[in-house]
Amino acid sequence: MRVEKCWFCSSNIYPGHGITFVRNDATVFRFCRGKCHKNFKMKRNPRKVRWTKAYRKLAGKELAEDATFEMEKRRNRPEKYNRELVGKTLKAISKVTEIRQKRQDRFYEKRMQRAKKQQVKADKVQLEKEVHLIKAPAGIRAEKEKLKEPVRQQKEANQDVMEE
Amino acid sequence: MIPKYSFLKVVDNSGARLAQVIGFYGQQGSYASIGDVVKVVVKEARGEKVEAGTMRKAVVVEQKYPFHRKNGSHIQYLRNAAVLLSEKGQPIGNRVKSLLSPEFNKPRWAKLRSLSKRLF
Repeated sequence: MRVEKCWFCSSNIYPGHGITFVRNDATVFRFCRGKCHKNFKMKRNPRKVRWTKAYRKLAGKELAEDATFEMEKRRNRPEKYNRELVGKTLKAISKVTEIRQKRQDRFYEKRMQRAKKQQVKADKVQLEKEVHLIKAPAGIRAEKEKLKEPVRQQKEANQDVMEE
Repeated sequence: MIPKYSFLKVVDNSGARLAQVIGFYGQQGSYASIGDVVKVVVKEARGEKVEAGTMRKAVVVEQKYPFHRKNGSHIQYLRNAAVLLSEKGQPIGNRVKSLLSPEFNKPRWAKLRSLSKRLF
């Protein structure tokens, strides 16, 4: 029993799921669900379909090359069964998955940092434009009047002084 | 799901190109599936080994209709294909141009397996 990868979206295919399609030139395509199968039949290129891993890795949105991916690569040499080896491998699998998760999270954070500045700018603009969604225009005007009050008082005080 | 009178592409080098199913061996139903032996009329042939119009046995090797395995997986091919057999059930040709499925893991098809690639 193997957990395969979907040809289209690269997700895991567990036993009992999906369809395997064999083309006349003997290439085998495995799909995890009907969605991927149908997209394939429509001749869509997974590298251009936004929700697939192929697109995301190509567009730099996800960790593409890393040493932790080496663990999952298929090896065609059968290993002689060795109890210790199996135990070690199991431990290694959980450790490697942890490390891979951390690295992916870090990659995401870095990517989002660049977006933070842009976000702040966009937020400012939005606040100025759309503040009426939070406060009524009359209220905004009243606030502005209040802000002008001390300035007006100052001006009047100055004028009095000047007149004197 | 191959009924009577359907055409199968012959994927070995026995010389036949197209075969038409006219009967089933070892089975009561009306459909043949992968791994079933089938009585066949050779419709088109190239070369001298097999002539068009002769009746032969054949085994269905590829099938468009997704066939269901006990482990839950489904496999489908792009065409319906067969390999011609002699009266005793051994393949006639030397080479089989097809990716066989594990339905042919039985000792009955040992010779067939040695002629082609396998699907895992």
